[in-house]
Amino acid sequence: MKSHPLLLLIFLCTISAVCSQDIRDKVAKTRDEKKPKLVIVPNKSIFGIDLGTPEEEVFKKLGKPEAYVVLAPSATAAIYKNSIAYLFKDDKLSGVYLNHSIIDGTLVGAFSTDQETYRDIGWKLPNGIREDISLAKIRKILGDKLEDDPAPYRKHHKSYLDGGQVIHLYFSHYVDQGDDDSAYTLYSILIKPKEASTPAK
Amino acid sequence: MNLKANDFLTIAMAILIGWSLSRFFSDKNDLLRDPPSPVTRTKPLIIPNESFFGVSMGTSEDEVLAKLGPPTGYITLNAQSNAAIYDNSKAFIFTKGKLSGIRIGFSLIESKLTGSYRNEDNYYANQDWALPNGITYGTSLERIRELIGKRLTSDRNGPYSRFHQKYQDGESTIHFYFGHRADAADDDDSSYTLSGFLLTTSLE
Repeated sequence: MKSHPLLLLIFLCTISAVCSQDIRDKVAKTRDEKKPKLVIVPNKSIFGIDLGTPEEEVFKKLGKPEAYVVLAPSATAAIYKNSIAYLFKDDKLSGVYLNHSIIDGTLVGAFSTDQETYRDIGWKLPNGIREDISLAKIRKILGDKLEDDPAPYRKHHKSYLDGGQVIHLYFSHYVDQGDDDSAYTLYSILIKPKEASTPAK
Repeated sequence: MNLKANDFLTIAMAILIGWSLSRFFSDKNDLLRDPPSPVTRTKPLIIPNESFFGVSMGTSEDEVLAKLGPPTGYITLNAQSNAAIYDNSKAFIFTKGKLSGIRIGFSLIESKLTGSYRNEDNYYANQDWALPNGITYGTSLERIRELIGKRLTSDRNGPYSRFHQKYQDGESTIHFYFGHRADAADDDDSSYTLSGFLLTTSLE
């Protein structure tokens, strides 16, 4: 049998190319490298989608939500991963709500074992506010802009105005760490148009 | 007695003013009157294996929505099951497009989200339901044990088992969720009161 030099060359090149791949190139350099940058820019965009984008376009980008809620005659919410609610006003993107669980856990848990939440991805605001940040650090970032909730548990809820939006911040209290601001950490955020919100002072 | 045109006019004006004043005070009295006392009535029933609030199990999703009106929320639970939410406290569960279960609880959609848009002032009224055996919102675990007996089980052991109990009734699995009075002993069944309810069927 005569060997064909061209076929042999192609074979050798292929083997060489495969062998030269470093397995280390298959993984991200850091754990966050290829993760989506879930930045919420108040008054501008939510996770890269501009405020004012029609609901239909948002669904084209994200797929249909797993839940849809009518909040008021002109306000709706589309819920993804049971933890991200895109808010719409007059069918246009107007805000976002993030929480560990938005839909009743008993109901969802009885039918699904999918526990993925936004915790798996991470999110932040351009000013550095992000999940799990302490109230003490938020005070340093926002200063006097931060408003108190008049309710008894006033450290559990704070809000501030940013342009046309009001930003509500919700905190967990680690009782074993005392009652100062560092014992309160951010676990939930609601950003919505100012006029449709409980006004921040 | 001779009455002139002006006299008739005066009498007519007096009658008109008198009538207006009587209406005015009548309206005020309505405002001051005590609100009507709550009407004692039969609670809407959840009848396992049969119907929920008068809607038969197995009814098509389209028919249920036509009967109850558009829901305020709609959820895809898995490839076969969906839920339609009403009053943020009741979820009618559908499997393969047929009514198969029901969930009753507070704030089925997180209240920080829904509450910032509307005043859910019927928070407790939404817990108006009962099983045929009398179990309803607020019934103690002690009473439920009396009614259900040894059929009542839990997936958990220890003190936390009391927060969730369930039993089988035909095709239906009935889950009870309890709140606990903080000042009471962990093993005091009378201090656990029913706060949530879930009925699913084995068809799911």
